[in-house]
Order: sequence, then C-alpha cells, then structure tokens
Amino acid sequence: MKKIKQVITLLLFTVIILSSFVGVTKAKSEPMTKANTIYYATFSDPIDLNPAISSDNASSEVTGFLFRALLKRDWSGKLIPDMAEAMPTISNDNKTITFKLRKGIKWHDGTELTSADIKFSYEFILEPKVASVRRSNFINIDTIETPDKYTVVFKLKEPDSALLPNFSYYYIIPKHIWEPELQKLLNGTYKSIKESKYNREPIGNGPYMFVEWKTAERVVLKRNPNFYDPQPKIEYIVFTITPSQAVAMVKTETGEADYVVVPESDVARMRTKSNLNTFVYDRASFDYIVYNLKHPIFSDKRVRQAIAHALNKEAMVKGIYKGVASVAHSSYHPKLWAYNPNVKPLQYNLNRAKQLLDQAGWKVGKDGIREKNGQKLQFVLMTNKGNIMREKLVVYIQNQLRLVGIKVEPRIIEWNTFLNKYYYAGKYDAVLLGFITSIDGDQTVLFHSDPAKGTFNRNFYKNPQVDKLLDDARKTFDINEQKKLYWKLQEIIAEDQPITYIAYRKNGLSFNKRVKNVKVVDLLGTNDGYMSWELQK
Amino acid sequence: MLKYVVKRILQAIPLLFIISLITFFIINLAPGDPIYMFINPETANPVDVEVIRKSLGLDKPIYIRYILWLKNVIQGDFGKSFQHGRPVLEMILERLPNTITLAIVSTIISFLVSIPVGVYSAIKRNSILDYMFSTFAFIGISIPSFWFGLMLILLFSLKLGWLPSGGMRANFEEFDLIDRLRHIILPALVLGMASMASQMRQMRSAMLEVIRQDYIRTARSKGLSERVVIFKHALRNALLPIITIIGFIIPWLVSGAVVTETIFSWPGIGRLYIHATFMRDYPVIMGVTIISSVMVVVGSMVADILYALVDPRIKYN
Amino acid sequence: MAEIKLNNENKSVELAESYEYSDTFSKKFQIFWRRFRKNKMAVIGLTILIILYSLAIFAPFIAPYDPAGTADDIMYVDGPPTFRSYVGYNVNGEEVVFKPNFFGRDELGRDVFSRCIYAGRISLTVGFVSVSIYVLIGTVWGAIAGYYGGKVDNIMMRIVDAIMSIPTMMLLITVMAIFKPNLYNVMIVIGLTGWTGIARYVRAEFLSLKKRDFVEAARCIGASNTAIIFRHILPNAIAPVIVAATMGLASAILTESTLSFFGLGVQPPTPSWGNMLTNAQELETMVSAPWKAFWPGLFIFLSVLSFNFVGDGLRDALDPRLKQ
Repeated sequence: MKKIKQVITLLLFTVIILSSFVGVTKAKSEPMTKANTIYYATFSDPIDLNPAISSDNASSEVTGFLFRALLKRDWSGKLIPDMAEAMPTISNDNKTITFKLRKGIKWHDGTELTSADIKFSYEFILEPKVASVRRSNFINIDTIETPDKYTVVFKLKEPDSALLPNFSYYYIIPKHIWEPELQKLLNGTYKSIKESKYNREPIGNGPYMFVEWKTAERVVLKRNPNFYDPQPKIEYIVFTITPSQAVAMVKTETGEADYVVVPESDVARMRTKSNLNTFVYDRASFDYIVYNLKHPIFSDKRVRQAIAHALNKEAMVKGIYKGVASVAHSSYHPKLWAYNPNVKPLQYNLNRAKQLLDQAGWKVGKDGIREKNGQKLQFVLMTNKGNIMREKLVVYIQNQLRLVGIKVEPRIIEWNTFLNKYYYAGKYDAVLLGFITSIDGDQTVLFHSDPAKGTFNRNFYKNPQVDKLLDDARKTFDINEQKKLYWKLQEIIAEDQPITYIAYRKNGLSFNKRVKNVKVVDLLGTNDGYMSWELQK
Repeated sequence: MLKYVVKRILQAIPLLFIISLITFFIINLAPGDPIYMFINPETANPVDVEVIRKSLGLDKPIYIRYILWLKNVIQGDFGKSFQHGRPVLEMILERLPNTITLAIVSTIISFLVSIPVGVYSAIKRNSILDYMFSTFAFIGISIPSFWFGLMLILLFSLKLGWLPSGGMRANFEEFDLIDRLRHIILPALVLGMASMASQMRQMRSAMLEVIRQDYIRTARSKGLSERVVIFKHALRNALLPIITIIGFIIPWLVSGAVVTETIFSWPGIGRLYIHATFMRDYPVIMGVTIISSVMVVVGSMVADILYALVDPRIKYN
Repeated sequence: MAEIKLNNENKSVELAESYEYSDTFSKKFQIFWRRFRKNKMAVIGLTILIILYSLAIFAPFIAPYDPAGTADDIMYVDGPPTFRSYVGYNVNGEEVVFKPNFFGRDELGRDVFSRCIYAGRISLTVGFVSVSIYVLIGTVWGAIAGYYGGKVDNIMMRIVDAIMSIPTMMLLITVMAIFKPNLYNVMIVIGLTGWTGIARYVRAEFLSLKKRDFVEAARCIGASNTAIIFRHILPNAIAPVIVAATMGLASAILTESTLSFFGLGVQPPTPSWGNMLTNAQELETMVSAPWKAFWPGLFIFLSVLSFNFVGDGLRDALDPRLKQ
C-alpha cells in the first residue's frame, strides 16, 4: 500500500510541476485591464507577422496595426499620403515615381525610418529567394534610388499605374533588422526567410507595438507612444485566437470578446443582440463560375450565356448567403468608380436560357438532358473543400441547371490538389471560385491572355481587344482615361461571358457596444478607423 | 526488476522505429506538392521553385530523405516547420504541457467519477442505479464528442454564463488557479467522457472479482463491518488493475485532444496537428505524430512497470 | 473504444449450456438466441438497427422527396417541420401540393427527412464496408501470427503494436487529409487503420486453440496449414471477432462523423449523418433551425448506441469466457 501512496504522490507532484510551468508571464509595467483593452476574437493563429511575406488573413489582421505604408486610403477610397509627405510625383514618360518621406518617423525600437528602409523593403520582396507572394505586384520596378534620406525614386521597366495602390499596403520593414536576416538567407544559413525570429517579434512603424504572442492563445499589441500621427485612444489590443467560429460568436455575445468577423449565416442573429453593434459592408469580392473555354461545351458563347440566364442568383443570395451578399453580373462591383452601369446584365430567365441552348444546337434528349451529335450537355463543376458556402452553391447550381436540361456533376476537392492537379493544370470543365478585386480599376490578372500578366486567367480566355484595353489603362495615370477604357472592357466581358458571376460578398462585423466611434464603410471596411475607436468608461 | 525495466525499454525501440517508418512513408507518398503551400504557384518561376525545393530537401529520393530525417530526429532535431520556419520541437514543447495538463485533469475527473460509481455498481449489482449507470456509460460512448462539446458550450457559456467558452486562461499575468480550473473543466469533461464510461465498467468488474476472493470472505467472517471490508480490503486490491488503464488511455486522450482542443480553443498539440495537416506542414505532422506515439509507448511501459512494482503477484524477469 | 458491457451477472446458471465443437449450426444458433434474448438492451438495439437498415434499404420508397432536390423558391429554405401536405409554388410559379417535411427543410430547401434516410445508406455502408475490410485483414493477420508463432508472430505483432501506438484519430486525419476525402477513401482508411484490435483477439484465440486436440487430429490426417487455419481453427475463434466487429460498426459511424467535423469525411453533396451534423454547426443554425442538427445527431446516436448494445449482447451470448 505504501507503494500506491508513493505512486500517487509522484503523480500529484508531476501535475503540480507541469501546471506551474505552463507559461506564466511577468507582470507588465502598465497593467492591462478590461477598461483599456479591446479583445478581438480571430479564427486562427497568425503564421508570421512580417507583412512582406505573410499571406494569411490572421497575420495581416495583426500587421495592419503594426505597420504603416507610403500611402493610405481616405474614407472615400482615394489614395492619400501616409508616410509620404505628399502624393508621389510622376515623370512625363510615366516611368519614374518619386516619393518624399515625412521626417521624424521612427521604428518601434527608436531607429529613424529613412528612404533606405523603403528601398530595402521592395528589394526584399523582389528577391526570388524570399519567395514573397507580393513579388508579382512589384515586378515592374526596375531600380530604386535614394538620392537623400527622405527621397525614394522608383524607376519602372514600363509605365504601370496599377503600382500606385500597392504602395498603400504595409510592406515596409526595417532595414537594420532585416538586412542581416536577408544575408543569412542568401548565404544559406536560413533555408527560408520564415526561420528568422523577427517574424515572431515584429518591429514596425505603426500606431501599435508588438508586446507578446502566446502561440494559439493570443497576440497582444500596445499603443506606440512615439507614433508620428495622433495616437489611437485604446491602449491595448488583444487578439484572442478562437478556431471554432461558433465559439467565437459565443465569446462575443457573452462579452468575452469585443470584436469579431461574423459569417453570413450568423449576421441576422448577431444583429438581434442588444449588447452588440453589427455592421455589414460590401466587399469588392465575388463568387463566380469559371468555364474552361477549351472544353467543347463551353467554347460556344451561347451556352455560357444560357447558364448565366438559368441561375437564380437572387435565390442564392437569399438562401445560401442569408441575404448577406448582392447579386453580381460583373467583376466590377457597382460601388467601384470604374463600374459601368450601362452594361445590361444577363437576368434570370429560364426561357431565354432554353432558347439560347436550342439555338446552339443542344436539343432535349429522352432523359431530359440536352444533347448534340450524341454528346450530352453535362459537365463537372468543381470547387475547393472547406468553404461551406461554395459547397452549397455547387449543389444549388446543379439543381438549377437541371431545369434547362444541363447535367452538372458537383465535385469538391481539397484546396491544394484542386489548384495544382486540376485548376492550374487546366484539367477541369468548370470551377466555382471566389475572387477579391482591387478597389481600383485594374483587372489584368483576371482577363489578360498573357500568362505572365493574367495570372488568374486560367480558363484560356483570349481577346486581343481586352488585352489592349487592359494594357492601355495601366500605361496612363489619368483616371478619366482609365475609366473610359474600363467601361469598354466591361461591355466586352459581359458579352463574352468567359466567367459567370454569382454574388458580391459582404462582410459582417460585430462590436460590443462598449466600443465607441466605430466606422465601417463599404469596400474599405474599418480602414484605419481603429485610430478613433474608444472604450466606454 | 531492473532487468525487466531494461527489457521493456529495449522492446520500445524497434516499436518506435516502425512507427517512424509508417508515418514518414504515409506522409511523403502523398500526392500534391507541399512546396505550393508556401510559395505562390501563380508567380514563382520554375527556377525559383527548384531553388526552394532544393533548399527544403524535397528534391532527394524518399528513402534518403527518411534516413536524413531519422538521423536528425535521433539527435533531437525534428526539422523546421515549412510554414513557420520554426524548429518543430520548439513548437511542440511550447504546447505539449497544455495538452498534458488537459489530459491529466480529464483523467482525474474520470477516475473521480468512475471509481465510486464502479464500486457502487459492484456492491449493489443489478440494482436500478447499477443499470442506470451502465446505460449512462453506453450513452457516453455513443455521442460524437464534437457535438457534446458544442452542446456544453451552448449550455454553460451561452445560456447559463457560468463558464468561459474556450481558451486556457483569462488571466495571463499570473498563475490563477480558479481561472485555470474554470477554463479546463468543460474540455476535460468532454475529453474524459469516453474513458470515464469504460473505466466505470472496468472498475465494476475488478471489484466484483475481488469481492469473490477468499480473503474478503475471511474478512467478512471475522465480523468486520461491511464498510471496512469494502474500503480497506477490497477497494485497494481492485484499484491495482486500473493502473494498467493509464497505459492505453493515452492514445485515446491524444486522439480526443485533436477534437477537444479545436472546439475549446485549447492551445495544445492537437490543434497544432490539425493546422499542420491542412497546411501540409510535413515536419510538424511528423513531429507531433512521433512525439504522441512516444508518449503512448512510454506511457504503456511506465504503466506496466508500475503495475509490476505494486502487484507482488506479477513476476518480472 | 467501445469495450463496455452490460450487467449479466446472473449468467452463471446458463453456463451449463455451452457450445460444443460437435453441435450442429441450428443447435448452436438456438443456444445463442436463448442467451441473446436475455439481454433486453441488446434486443432493443437489434430492433432499432433493423428499423434503421430498413429505412436505408427502402429509402427510395419511403423518402417523400429527392434528397438532392433543392427548392427554387426562397420561402422553403430552412423551413420548419410540417406534418401535413401544403400548397406552394414550384419553379415555374405554378401552384402545387407539397408533401409534408417531417424533419423540416435545410438551407437549400432540401427535405431533411429524406436526406436523413439516404444518409443512413451512406453511413451504414461506411460502417459495414470499413469493418469488413478490417475484419478481413485483422483475422488473416492474427491467424497467421497466432498459428505460426515464434519469429513471425513477434514481427507481425510488433507491427500491430506500432500501429496501435499511433493515436487513431491522428493516423486517420493524416491519411484523409493527404488523400482525397471521399466515400471510398473514408471506408478504406477506416478499414486499414482499425484492424489491429481484431488481429490481437484472433492471435490470442489461435495461440490457445492450436494446441487443442481437434487441431492435432486434423494435422494427423494430413490437413494443410491453410486448411487447419481456415477450416478448423478459425470457426472456433470467430466469436470475439463478431463481437469486436459489431462494436467496430459503432465506432466506424462515430469516426466518420468526427472526420466530417474536420471536413475530411464523406463529402457533400453526398449526405452522411456525419456531414449533415457538421453542416449544422453554425451557431445560428443550432439556435434558429435546430432540426437540421437534431435529426442527424439522433440517428448517429441511436445507431451507435444500438450497435454497442447488440455487441454487448453478442458477447454474452457467444462467448461467456469474454465476460470478466
């Protein structure tokens, strides 16, 4: 019996030891209290807090508070200077962009931010070994010069107005920290830049500073007392990592968290909660069907148009998106400045759809499925796994198209396999995907037939007229000129229907009512509104 | 005794070797290229892809990769995460204590319930309560645990507001026992549910067996009170076989942790593992699987040795 | 994991009547049935299972709706349960009479009742096929190890130990995440990971049975090893396999639902109880359209519970020795 007692004592001892070293943080100088802290329920742990390389949502949510860029957007979506003193000057040949920096901007460690940091940051992104997902955005930059501490000159390979918005993203990183790290990558000490410890202890230049990151638990940010603009009102931001969306909603409802992104399905419910302010805003993002134009069925424009007519997008928005979306007929969101309101949408009209299919030679067969020359009008509609919304859409589309005699076989495939084995390889009939456009006019990536430019044009769409319009628009910095070109583009695309749009997504955000001065605007979301958020005393 | 311990340890080595072989080959024979998990196939040109592939060692044939990997693992180097670039071991050790704490608390809870219930059922066998406990045990193993967990959150956090809905702590500044207990109780309950049910039954049969033994009859015939007989003589002996349970509930606990930690936002290795699988972070998947399997192997080894220690009837040589 | 049994302590009396090697099949079955009947829970479980299987098999005749048929009109989305036929509109805007939706409609307007019984086909098949796979592998593996013994046994059982040491859920998730999750892979993967327990039981049986007289007798008349293994020993070692397989059916259904929870189970639009339950995980659904989650949940629970009850009854009836 003694032995048992010994065993139990030993076990208890182990428990005590273990529970005592389960991370206990040192007390902070300025205490964090509910009154000076906003809690944000996020769905996943960030991967790396380095804005130049991170590509996941959770990371950019955090880095958005830590970093600032050369330009930013005002509440109307217009680009305005941020770290830059003024908007850049552009040379007459449109190939040189010059920025003047504001003086006295400091990194969180106190070092001054200069033009060398800017030059370094873009060179860092452009270095192939860094393997940044942003690289293609800046590929038109030829050289970067720094005539003095506060001047940066970008020399371009060819004029590119689409580069401007990219200067509004937070990709500037401190040279004095990252240059030695880059060296380690280049000389082989690091196999990947992700190995650098600074990805987990970021030094930024934004209104908030990094405090701690408890893996899979939380990330804490603190107000930066040396920020170059007026300071934000809230002292601490805590990202509480909550992988289950349902639980994140519960947390917000019970007041454990102040701020959460609300999935479509939950918006209506969160709106009824008296302790929450729930906002919904439009995003320049849409779900769409991509047709493989090399497929015999889809090479005929009339079939694509028929499908567009056969889809009851209104019903999908109401049923699947729970009304938190709007019907889409174009890749340009109606709230974008480049949107052309004169383009006639292909409305839901089953008779028109049937008519088009008849014209195209597809006659209804014995089993109700249309056929032509012994070939049935059937195709596989693929989508990636893990997006419940899309999984439901695929099923819905299957049933809708059955009504006009088209047979759809839904197939849901894991993301990685989906992309590499099927989508990028061009081995598909049609796919259902989502896309986020820039809030500016350029959509080269979607429609340009040059694979180097049209990186998301994976359905072999080729229209020389479209290519020219896209190229011309990028060569000019004149907004009115661009608008003209983009209007024409939309007309052609609507007629060609290389892709069929389903709905523009919206985003739901819930804030606890103790958070004051929250502003949410269509297309921009909260933008940098967090600067004026306040907590009720 | 020492000999027995050495023998058990020596047996564990080939076991771990086979485990590593199985996991390595399953993961590395998978279709799909892990390289696209951290570079953008849209923009990277083929030369860059090859550079990165080489730097990650993915260009070598699989058996060489296995040997290299094994060599490193023996030296305690599980490689670096594809996705985070951090040493895998560091990532695991950062979270392992959390998982172990959860597992221990859930085991304690399930023992606290299962032992008294098992004893009661054995003493009052075929009573109404005994049947109810049995039925309850069956129900316990028949509910999907993710569902059970969500229901508990809805009830205790959303409706009643008694307990937090997830996470490990609210107080990060210092070790706050009450805070920790409030956070651990629901996940531990969900994790312990299935094993609780089975331990209940095991305790019951162990107790039944002991009660039938001669020395209990002797004790009774000596006129000792029933209470003394049960608690002083029977229970002690019936508890012995329960030790072996510790050995084989570890795989359950780890399996269960994968689900429980996801639902309750518990920062343990289960969640690390799930995330790594979806991101095809091979080194992390390998690391977590190997470490968990080591825990299982060591756990059952320790259980065997403990059992040999406390039970004089077992001979070891 | 489902190694629990109900109380049947009053069995000692019946033990007098036990199976003999020489008994005919019908005699054995009579003994079996008499014992099985004694366990009321097992009988209830069996009844529920018969109902569930009938629903699944006759689904096309029972289901009022096409399980994949979505409603075009938005008014039918997330509709609550109805017990009477009702008048509504079809796609073309014509008035039609709809059959009742006993379990309500889901977010695409599909009939939950029809989906539940069609899902039963999938879920029960997943259980059946995967368990068949692992019974086959486990039995052959255990038989060979147990029969030959020695080095063969040692190596084969080390492999079993190794697989058992990898936490099952991890093994399953890894394999499912890596290979395409679909109906067939789910069945194969559960089958390939679950056989180790069976192998251990069978091996243990073989170790003790191979020394028995009837085996010696068979060997003397020149029966081959294969014949001895499959014709003589296996039929006598089958009892624990049947019990474990029944319990296995229960855990296979649970496993599929857990895989579905991670999006790695049977893939929609093919309905399984697991993915129906998972699809109803949103907080909003659980609060405002609970029928979408309740029914598949109940079907999982009932089937798993029944398999466990029946497994327990089988254990008592087939092999009293297994009782501790």
